[in-house]
Amino acid sequence: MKTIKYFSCLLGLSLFLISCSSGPKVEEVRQLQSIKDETTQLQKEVAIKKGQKSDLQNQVPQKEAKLAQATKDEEATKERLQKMQ
Amino acid sequence: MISQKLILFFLLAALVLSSCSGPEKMTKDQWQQEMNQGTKERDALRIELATLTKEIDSLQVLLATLDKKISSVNDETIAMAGGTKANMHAFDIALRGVETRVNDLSLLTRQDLLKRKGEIEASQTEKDSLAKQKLAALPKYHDRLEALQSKIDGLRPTLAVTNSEGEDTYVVGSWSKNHDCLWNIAKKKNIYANAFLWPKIWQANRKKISNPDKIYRGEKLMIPQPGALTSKEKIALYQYWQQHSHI
Repeated sequence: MKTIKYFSCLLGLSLFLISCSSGPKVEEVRQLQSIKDETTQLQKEVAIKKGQKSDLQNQVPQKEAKLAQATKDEEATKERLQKMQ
Repeated sequence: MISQKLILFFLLAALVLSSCSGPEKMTKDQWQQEMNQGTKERDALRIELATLTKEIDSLQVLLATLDKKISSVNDETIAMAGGTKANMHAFDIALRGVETRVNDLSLLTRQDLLKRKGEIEASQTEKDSLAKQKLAALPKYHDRLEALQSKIDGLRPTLAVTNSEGEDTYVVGSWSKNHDCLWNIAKKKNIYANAFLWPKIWQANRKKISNPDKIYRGEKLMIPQPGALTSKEKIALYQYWQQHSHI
């Protein structure tokens, strides 16, 4: 009888310890994984957007130079037309 | 007693194994920590993405505005010169025609070019007629017309070396300006394009040139037809080198 009690206590203690040392629930692990997946996806999107932004930023000075050239051409045309008259 | 010890051993072993099973298994605290960190990172990325989208949108608006301005300025310029789709097309075709003809002429040999002398003048007339039109003030046509003029000008020296009798002549320029000596004259593109043919000019002008190292500004030199040196010219060259080797 004494032995049975002893083993029961020991078994109970073991189960208690096992349950205490157990990690998060399956649902919680899924939740964490979902956040990780979302983060990875967002990182990819951010990288793409950064590329787009850089590309557009490079286009701005090119367009500005084109506009400056067009204005210069307009002035030159005006001068030439005045000379023709 | 032995069985008690055995059971105790197995229970402890099970306990140890269960607590140590798999290094990946996380504790609730670790989970919480990762959740906090992950959420923080995700939120920061969401904000960054929103900011980037906004910036991209404003850059696209800026670029569209610039495109509109460029197009507007170009349209104004064309309108100023009275340009329409139809007359610009016609002008372009006419200009291309003259350009093609002048390019063809510039590929001809001197003799062939002389035969088509009239086409140079015709090209000049057409070019002048195009240059008088308002469309010629447009940069894209103005630059092409200027290039065309310089090509026509490049053809003229070839005509200039032919005198009224149809013989080729060359009037010696100054050394300081033209660097004219027989070697350099023979080297000119519109003469022989080969400096080693200089004895041809010397021999054709023996009455004027006694010393081939001395020619004078304003002298009108006969330019014989290009070709290999004749035996007479070779002998003259040999004698010239002999005299110089003695010096």
